[in-house]
Amino acid sequence: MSKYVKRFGMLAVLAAAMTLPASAADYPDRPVSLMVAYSPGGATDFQARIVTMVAANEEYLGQPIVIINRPGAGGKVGWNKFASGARKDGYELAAYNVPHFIAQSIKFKTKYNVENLEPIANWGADPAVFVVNRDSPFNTMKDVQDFAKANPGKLTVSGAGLFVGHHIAYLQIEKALDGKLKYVPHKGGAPALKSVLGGQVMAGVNNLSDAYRSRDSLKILGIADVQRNEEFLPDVPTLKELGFDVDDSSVNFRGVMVRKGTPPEVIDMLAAKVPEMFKNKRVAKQMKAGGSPVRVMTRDQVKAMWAKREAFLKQLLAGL
Amino acid sequence: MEFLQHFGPVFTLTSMAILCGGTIGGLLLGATPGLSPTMAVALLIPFTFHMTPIHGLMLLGAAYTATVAGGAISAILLKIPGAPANIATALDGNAMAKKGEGARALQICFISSFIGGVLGILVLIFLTPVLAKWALGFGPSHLFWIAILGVTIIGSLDSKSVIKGLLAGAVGLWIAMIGYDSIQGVERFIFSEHLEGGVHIIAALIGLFAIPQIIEMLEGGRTNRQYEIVKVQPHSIVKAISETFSKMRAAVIGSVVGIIVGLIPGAGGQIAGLVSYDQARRFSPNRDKFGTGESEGVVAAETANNAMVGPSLVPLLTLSVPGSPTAAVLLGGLLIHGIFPGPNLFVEHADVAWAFINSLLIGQVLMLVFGLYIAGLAAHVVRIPPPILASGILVLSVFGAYSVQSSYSDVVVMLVLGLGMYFLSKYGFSPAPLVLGIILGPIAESNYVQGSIIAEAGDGLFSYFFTGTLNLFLITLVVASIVYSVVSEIRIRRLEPRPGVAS
Amino acid sequence: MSQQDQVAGRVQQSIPVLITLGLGLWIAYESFTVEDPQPYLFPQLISIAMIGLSAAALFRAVRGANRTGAGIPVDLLLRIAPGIAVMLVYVLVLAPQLGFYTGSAVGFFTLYSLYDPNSHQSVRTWLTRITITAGFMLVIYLVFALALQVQTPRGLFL
Repeated sequence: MSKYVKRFGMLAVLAAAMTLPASAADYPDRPVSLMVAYSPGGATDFQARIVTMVAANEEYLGQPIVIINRPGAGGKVGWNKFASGARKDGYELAAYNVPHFIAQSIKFKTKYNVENLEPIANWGADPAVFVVNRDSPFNTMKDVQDFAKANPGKLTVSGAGLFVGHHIAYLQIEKALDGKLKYVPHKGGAPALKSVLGGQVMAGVNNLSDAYRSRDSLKILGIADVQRNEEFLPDVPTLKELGFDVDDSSVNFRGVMVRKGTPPEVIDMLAAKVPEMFKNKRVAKQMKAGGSPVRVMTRDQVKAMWAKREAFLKQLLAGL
Repeated sequence: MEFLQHFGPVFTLTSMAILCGGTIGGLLLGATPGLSPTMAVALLIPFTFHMTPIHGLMLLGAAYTATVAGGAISAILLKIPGAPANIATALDGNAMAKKGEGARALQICFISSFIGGVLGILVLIFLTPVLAKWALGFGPSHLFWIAILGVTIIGSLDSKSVIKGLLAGAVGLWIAMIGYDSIQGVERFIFSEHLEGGVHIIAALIGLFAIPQIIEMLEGGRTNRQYEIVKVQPHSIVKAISETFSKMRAAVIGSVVGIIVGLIPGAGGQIAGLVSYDQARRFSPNRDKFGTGESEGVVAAETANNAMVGPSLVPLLTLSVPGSPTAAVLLGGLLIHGIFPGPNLFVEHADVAWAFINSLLIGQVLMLVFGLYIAGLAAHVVRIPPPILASGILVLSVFGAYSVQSSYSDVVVMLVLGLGMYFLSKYGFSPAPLVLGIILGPIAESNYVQGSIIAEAGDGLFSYFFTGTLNLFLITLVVASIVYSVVSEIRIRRLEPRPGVAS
Repeated sequence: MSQQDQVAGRVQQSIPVLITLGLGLWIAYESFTVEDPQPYLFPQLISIAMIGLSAAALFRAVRGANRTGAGIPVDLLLRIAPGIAVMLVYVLVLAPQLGFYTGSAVGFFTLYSLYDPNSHQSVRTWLTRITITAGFMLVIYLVFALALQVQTPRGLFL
């Protein structure tokens, strides 16, 4: 009897050894997946594909990163599944979008929050911009403010959905203008921009990268960030410069995260190599060609940024 | 005529190989239940990484063209539309196949696809600058009325009983409300964790059409005596061409409807086939034969589906605004190669832009050639014994439903809807109005909500939705459509003898 | 047609309509009793339409005026029941637990064998069944997994 127990015990140990990662030192010894909570072709998706294309190089992970799209409900489906079901061995990564996932975790009953996820590194920052149609009578933010003050609640502003970066930028701008505007949510950034181009709304809050592509049909009046974008729109002032109290809280940060409980050695290894991978020359060139603003941040910087955003959003969304 | 100067890169050996590969692959992927054109293009984008931008876009263009047409193959032979756009094709196309005219239906289908597709791309080539602004002019109020116009055809679509058609449509509209709504920021009717992300249209389409077909194949038990095995008689291509051209009315209606619906961003190009089918029926002297295998129905549906392809790219290529889900995926494919669609596209990347458009045009020709060849092979597909066919479709359905969003919940939703639809179909309910409800629900609701917010800031709800030339024109169409349905319903009731007993 | 058949037909025809009526009533209850009714405007309208249409259809069914669709006789139900059972087990258990390709092979083989008219006694039949299953699975594995690299559910195996 004891012989069988012993054998069974050995088998169990063997099985455990086979299923667990051999050891954190060998990590990674097979391809790693990166879950994107949005559809293929979207900005998060194609940027994720670009920044991970050199992962297999020896100086980075030495293994390719495979993108898995799990869209639905504004990202909630993918992140819920990730925070509750992803393996904690470092082979399942996910892309985050701040402030989206933090705002959702405050506003809805989600399985994810800042506490149960561990940031690795940030690759991009797409600030929100305030745009009007090329034919619009508004030429500056001052014109917008004057109109809003004279006609409270008459100025329609489009943006992508509720409780996303655009909506948060809108709320900050409305407060800073000290007037009453009207937010018109859309199903995503592209339809929201379409409404500005088609003249269905008077103004819009949209991504810098999308507005940049359509810059010939738009007037970009201000950036909701703390610094100008020297790469794409060096001439557009920040809202702060214009005297409106809007900071970078709505900037759409994109980066990579893992589940809490992932071995610290794995996290440290990723935190050291992934930012270097994002800084790769080929990646930088391709990102610029695709009109995507890059901002590489290390794990510690992202951690601080997450905490700051959460505190701010809790306060902002409390009244809604 | 600038496009003619850019045909050079299309006619190289590599390009032709890519175009042929894309077309054949696209036709087969399109015919697979659940692999929609959007999905096929998304699957192919990683392949374009390793190609030059011109070759990459040619592959995407050819595959897009071919998958749209390929969806009709399974719609006709198996009554399982490959994509929502092919639902209307299944109505008469499958009825023809049941009569042994599968080859004829497929030939007419590909010839109509070619006619519609080429006209649509010519619109893209010549009228883009004029139409881009016009297309953007459609706002929430107009899209709302377009959706309501779609709702008015629900009752008469593929149902012998108007009440049951409307009831199925209402269930579809409700299914579309399940899940998280990003415009209103609410979660509704999530009574199961599988419904968190809502019901995806492709998962619903597979479930509602494929699962009942699978069960029908099993109805005979081990003897197979009940399932009608479709026979495919050979049919001459020349006859099919002359027949298609004799249905000019349907082809014109189909092309015009397809081009208009395709141009309008957010109108849901998926309804083009159904709207055109419905219009062709209303204007046809053979309207009573629609649904029983009338080739005019196939012509109307397929010209519209393919006419939509070119115009749906107008807002994307000129203004960088994707007007349809497929266009959104294509945008990602362009950006990965560092190509910005927009006003400067034809200045900075003229070679790439024209090569893409020309590949769509050549793709139409290749689609026609390979499509007609496939029509000849159709007889082999339907000779597969029902138990094997049923098992194979089941596996492909699970695959299709999962692959859309890598979500197993979609598979569960697909099966549940399918089993429900099988039972309902035994009581005279049809899946077509249900799917139309699922497509139209979000268009009607989100545009109503956006419109009412904009109206609040403007002159109020009434003036926003009921004034303006375009609104009034659309409302007139809605009223005309309702009056027509009521009048024809009354006429049919009068003609029929009083019902005695339930059969 | 006997009196009894008529009654049975009317009962049969009433079943699906009663289901949609129940669904309509439930949606109405859910959407009229929420705190913030604004996002529930469309569900409210739809529920009213569903209740009205179901009532009309029920009235016709009871009068015997519903003439579309014959319903499901018991013998038909018995013939399709094993197939539906295989579908459920395949979708809910086999594919997610074993992995898509393994689960599908088992599901395909079972469903095919259950409804294959050829004799279960013959060895040749079983060989054909195995060959066709393996061939089909190989083709979709080559196309979807190797060529297109589509993600599929993973369980114990592929």
